[in-house]
Amino acid sequence: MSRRVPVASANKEETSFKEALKLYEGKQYKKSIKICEQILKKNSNYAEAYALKALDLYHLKEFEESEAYVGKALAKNPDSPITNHILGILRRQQQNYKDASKYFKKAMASGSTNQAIWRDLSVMELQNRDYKNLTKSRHAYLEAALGYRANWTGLAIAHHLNNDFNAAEKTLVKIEELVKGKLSEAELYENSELELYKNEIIAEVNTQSALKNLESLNTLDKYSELETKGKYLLKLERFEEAQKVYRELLKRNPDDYKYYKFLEVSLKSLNKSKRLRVGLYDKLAKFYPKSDAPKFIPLTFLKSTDEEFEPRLRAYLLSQLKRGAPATFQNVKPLYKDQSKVEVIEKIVLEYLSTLKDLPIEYIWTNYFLSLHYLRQSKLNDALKYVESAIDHTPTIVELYILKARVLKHFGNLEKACETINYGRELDLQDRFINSKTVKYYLRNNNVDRGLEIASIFTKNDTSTNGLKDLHTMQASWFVIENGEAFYRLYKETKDIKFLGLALKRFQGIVKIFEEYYNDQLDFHTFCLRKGTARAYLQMLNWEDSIFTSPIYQRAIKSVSSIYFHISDERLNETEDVYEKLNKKEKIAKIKQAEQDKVKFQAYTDDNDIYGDKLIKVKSLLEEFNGKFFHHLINQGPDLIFTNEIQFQLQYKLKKIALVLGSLNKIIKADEKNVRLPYFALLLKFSDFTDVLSKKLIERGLERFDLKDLKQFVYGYITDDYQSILTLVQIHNLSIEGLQDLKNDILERIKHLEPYEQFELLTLIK
Amino acid sequence: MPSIDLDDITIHNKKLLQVINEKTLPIIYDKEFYNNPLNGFSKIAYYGEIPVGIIKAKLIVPSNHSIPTSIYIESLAILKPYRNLGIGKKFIEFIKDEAKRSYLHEIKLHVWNHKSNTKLIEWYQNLGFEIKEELIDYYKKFDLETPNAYLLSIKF
Repeated sequence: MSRRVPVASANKEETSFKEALKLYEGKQYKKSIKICEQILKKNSNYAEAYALKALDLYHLKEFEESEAYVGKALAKNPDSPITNHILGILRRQQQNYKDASKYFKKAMASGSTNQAIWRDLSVMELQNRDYKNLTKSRHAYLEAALGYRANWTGLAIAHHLNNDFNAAEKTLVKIEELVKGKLSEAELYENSELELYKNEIIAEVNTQSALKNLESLNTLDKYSELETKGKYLLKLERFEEAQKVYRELLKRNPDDYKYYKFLEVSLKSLNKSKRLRVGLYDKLAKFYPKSDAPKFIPLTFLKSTDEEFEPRLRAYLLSQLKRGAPATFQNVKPLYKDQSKVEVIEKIVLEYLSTLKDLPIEYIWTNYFLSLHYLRQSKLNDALKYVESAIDHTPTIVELYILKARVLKHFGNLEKACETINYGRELDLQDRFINSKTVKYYLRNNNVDRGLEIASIFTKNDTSTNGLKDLHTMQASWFVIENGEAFYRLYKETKDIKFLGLALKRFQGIVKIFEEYYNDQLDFHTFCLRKGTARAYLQMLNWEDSIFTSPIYQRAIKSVSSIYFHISDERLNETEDVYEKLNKKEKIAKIKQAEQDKVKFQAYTDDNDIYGDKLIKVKSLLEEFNGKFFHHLINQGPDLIFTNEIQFQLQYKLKKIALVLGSLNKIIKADEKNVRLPYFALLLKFSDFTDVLSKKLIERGLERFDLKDLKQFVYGYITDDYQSILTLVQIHNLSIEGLQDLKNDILERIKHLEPYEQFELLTLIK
Repeated sequence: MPSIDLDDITIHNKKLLQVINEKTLPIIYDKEFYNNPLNGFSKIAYYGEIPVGIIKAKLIVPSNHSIPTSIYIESLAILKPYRNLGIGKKFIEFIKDEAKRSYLHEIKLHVWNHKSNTKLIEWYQNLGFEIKEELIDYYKKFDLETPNAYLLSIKF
């Protein structure tokens, strides 16, 4: 395509365009637009000017107009390298990395000479995990600038990510040779990191050569060197040498539990007699008298019936309780898996307590220990008794109130728990930990206003009446999710749909926080290359690849799915007027109140959907759920039981039986005794799908289950824990013939649970 | 043995004043007292890192004077398990130092005159305090068994 313009004028336009670009770079968007417009007045075919104007408009938050100019630019000349480059930048700015990648690629394909685009492109490809194309752009960029080590590292990482270990190693070797003898002091760290990185790559192929390579290195990271060496030696079964390495590591840090374990692996002592192992740890304890590990580890493998167990345990416990160490319970908690050990602990500590009349500090923390000890076993009355005697003895210690509140929470008495922890908070208003805990307790008790008020003591509240915006900006997901769950409970309590929208809004806040975590990688794709921290960088990529499976994200999805299923079942998205049941006066009052409360609930600056109405008032609810919340989890955790439990319910509602069965199979594959399976199976068996295909699919899908005797089938999966009883409740709620008398059994089993769990389950029974 | 340290009462931990007072003393101070805990001289005593005692005192300006003539201890309380460890003595020394810095040479305080307090009164006397007078019905509004108080004073 040729632009029929006189040459002289074209040159002039180019000069103006360059100036417009400069203004854009200087953030002078309005001035930049002005020049673009001048260019376009003279030559309406100047595609690049349209593109630049689109970019300027985006920065001026004229989003719709900006998109219009994108269209114009592409219509005039879709093949201009500069246009494509600019549009790539625009899309990157919008965090639309897929399209950004597309435009950058097109810019290079259309003959751009700007080699830096290769780098931008490779960053987009990493962000999109498009490793296949990454090698090409990394290679091209390296060729454009051979003199930078970062570019060699970049190519090596690209090869590595494509599992081409040989090419990765070769690339790293080549640059090593080039820089040999020319390293400045400042480059030594980078070099050391990259040597270890190369070693990791060699190990992917051959442990033997990796070991050999490692032994030739002298890096700055001695821990890594030794830990890796130990790992290789164990893998090669060279135990004698491995043992020496782990002893060396223990000398460096005798508090690291894993070194003890690996030492035992290399000594092959894990299956040997307890006496021999105890002897080993006694020796180590003598070497490292300040270290906790060699004193504690024998308690884990000795049996409670072994003669030396009790005296060892006594010595261990009392040395800590005598110091008044609040963390004593935490330290022995691993022993609580064995009930017979718990009994010995109880005996020792109760005995010790009776000797403590005039030793205040020991007395307090021993009572504290016992309270935790009973709480762990759900003996709530005893837990309360001991923490109360500690408080009665010394009522000025913050930790005691935290614990008492926790016990009260387990009793299900949230009101009292809030009161208690707040009392503790007032003892030390500078203690941020108890402040946050107090907030959490108020939110659990659905007192959102008070929770936010207390949280706001520690937030930046410049422009707001409270800290809500700051808590979102600071990514305080613990607050945001508790807040969402509180709103959801408030909805269940009041049936005011306002709370449903607010709950969704907060859960969307969680999604946003995690998306921010994910997008934050962007800068590191180049930064880590420059610093040479390839190993840490790859760890980060791995971490980001499963970030949406984090517990807190799953928690959000759990509530969001249940909300969307509820909205969909009740068709709440279709109710035009949420206050239709109210009379006119009440309605006006409600709307007025909502308007006033806006400042209180505003989580983001410039938010035009403070109450989350737009998340509810959508046509296709389940698509909204999938597209805004659930898809991240499907991408990153497609095989998780949790994902498939939600997927099952979602596809069931969408009546996509093949997908329903697909998720059922995934659950079975992950855990064939999964407690939720009888519920899902029965849900399918007694579903009311009428079409032949669905019926057939279901029949085939259920073949693996023995459904002759339903009761026997169900109880094959059930134990006494909360999840089991929850399943029973769900099955009870299906009111299936032959399974109608579950209620009595539920009420019987529930007695073993803690009060708050009992309460939760009872509210679910229909 | 854990160390004993005195530290300031601040707006962040002023609640401790009330908690320790209410745990140890039979009388109840009015709200005003706790609302302005930072006036005058006040300290918290820590045993190890645990707050176990408080003292609050102020300057006394008699009606016919324009400058203070003594320091008056409004409240001195130590949790029971932490008595006889030298904390009270440390408090009195602190007040003495404060007094000297203000060129004052007298400390006064009231003690409840009750049989349960004999030891306490002896304790003050051992430190050099003297009983100045008995004030009948001083604690009348607190509904105590005997409402009388002693006024104690030490000059140095």
